[in-house]
Amino acid sequence: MTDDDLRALFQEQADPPNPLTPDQIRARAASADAPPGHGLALVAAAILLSGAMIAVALWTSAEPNLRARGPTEHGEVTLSWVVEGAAAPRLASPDIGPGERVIFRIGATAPGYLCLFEESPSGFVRVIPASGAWRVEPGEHTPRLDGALAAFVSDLGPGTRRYRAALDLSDPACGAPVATATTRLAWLAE
Amino acid sequence: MGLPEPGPTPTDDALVTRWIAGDETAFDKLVTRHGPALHGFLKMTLGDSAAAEDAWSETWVRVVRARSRYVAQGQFRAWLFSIGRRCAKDQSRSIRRRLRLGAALEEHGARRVVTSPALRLVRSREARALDASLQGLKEEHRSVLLLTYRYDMSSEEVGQVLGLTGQQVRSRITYARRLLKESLARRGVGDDR
Repeated sequence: MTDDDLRALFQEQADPPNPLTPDQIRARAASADAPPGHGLALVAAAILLSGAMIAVALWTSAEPNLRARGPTEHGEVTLSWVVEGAAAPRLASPDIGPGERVIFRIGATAPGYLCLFEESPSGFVRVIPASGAWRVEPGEHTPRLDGALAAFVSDLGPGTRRYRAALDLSDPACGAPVATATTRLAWLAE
Repeated sequence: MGLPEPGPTPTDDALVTRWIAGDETAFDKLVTRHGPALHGFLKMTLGDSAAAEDAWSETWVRVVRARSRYVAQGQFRAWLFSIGRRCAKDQSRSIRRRLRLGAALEEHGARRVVTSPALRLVRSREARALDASLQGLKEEHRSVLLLTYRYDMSSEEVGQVLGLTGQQVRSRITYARRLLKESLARRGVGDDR
């Protein structure tokens, strides 16, 4: 194996998307810099934020483990899924049994490119689209292959791992997404 | 008559200068330009998604706070990665615990689940062997390989990230590369002798 082979192997996988936006980084830096006198205000803000999060959680309770990020002025992305298998299709449980598979649904509020990344030991790896670009208009989207709904089964084996949908306005590889949403699925052993 | 020349892409140093002068869009460009690579480096260094995200966030917070101390010598990426590596080290205790769990999951993963006929999404055998081999190396060897082969850094840049001289970097690369190739060969990759 030559150095060039090694370099090609190392560069085979795309880098994962940024987990935070620059605005979110600035907010964290500002809160880290806040003097002690601002503590009360931060506590109040945290209480208000907690209330808002509970309200959002109740509102989205039909889609467990849903977590959206990103500024709304650039677009939002949502991620949900349906388990398909021997039993009836279901939404409530994130446990995926042997022989079952998952159909992801990704919502976007802006035109752009969608990607779905799977958590692996080396980072989030893009699994949908497997190749090429997935250009979408605003709305709810389900991966399709040759016109048919495409289901997904992890090839990483049993374990709990996260799946992240990303919306990028210009990059088909979703290298600089304006919004992401993450869910967690548990692939059960036989 | 040819096509019009595209505008020059600003260098990292130019962006930092603009950022310090108050142009926040310059910071946005730096995050867009280097964020995914930093994230990938931290993830492969740490082998843990949650820890990598935490280290990534902390790195950029430290960059925001330390930006006025950056010396513009064309090495912003190396400076950024050196901060990232320090943040990663700060997390090492919880990561070791999680790595053990990750290794256990990988062992179970040897028995592959049958993929849906509707969509076959199989990662290459070579990429998975690289994942496993890298996780079996010491962090100091993993980092030098990642910076050199994945992120195409020069020995000087790698030295700045890792706090080593150029000679030390070259020596470490030689040793780490041998360990990696041996590990890959045991997994049936690149062993074409």
